[in-house]
Amino acid sequence: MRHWLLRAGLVLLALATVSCGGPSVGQRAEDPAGDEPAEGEEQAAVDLEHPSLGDEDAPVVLTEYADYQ
Amino acid sequence: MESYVENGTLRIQWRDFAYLGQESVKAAQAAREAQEQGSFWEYHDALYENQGSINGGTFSDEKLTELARGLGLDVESFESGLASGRYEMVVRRDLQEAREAGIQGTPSFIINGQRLTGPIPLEDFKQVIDDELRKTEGA
Repeated sequence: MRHWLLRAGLVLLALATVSCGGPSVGQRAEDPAGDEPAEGEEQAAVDLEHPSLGDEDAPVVLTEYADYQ
Repeated sequence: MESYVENGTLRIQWRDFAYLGQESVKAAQAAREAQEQGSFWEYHDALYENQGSINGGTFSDEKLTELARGLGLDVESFESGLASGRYEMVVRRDLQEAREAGIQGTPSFIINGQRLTGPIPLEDFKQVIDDELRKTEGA
């Protein structure tokens, strides 16, 4: 009985490792030399504000959605 | 519209809705590169002044760079930024958020929560803005 419990615990531990960041099927490997933007560039992209004109406290806010083509 | 912005009544916010293809996405990214250099609206205007056939090369990387050069931007920085695709995520996120907000085509506008779609006559814009202003003043 104790031996069965030990094996079950090990299986659960292995499953937890996979789901918490271990390698798994279908997961894309990291490729530091690939085309992905560098970490600093990603942060810059996240920090880029929406372009805007006018007072931040203006009572009327118009949001325009458009395509350049 | 300009007077509303200048007198503090109106704030205009831009959202990319780049849904017509790869050149839409590239043009939007290029405008964000111009934004990085403090020239978003100038580049935005240049894009509209140079529109052509959809995905027909009007907004190829070379032409987008030419527009940047014409505005006196730092072309080396612009080109490398555009090539890296660092703002593609920003552009695609705008599109996703717009779709989630119910936007389906362009141009679309939301004025204090009120949605307007399609080419809107200037007078209609003014009417909506004046109505919204009256609401906020009466609140």
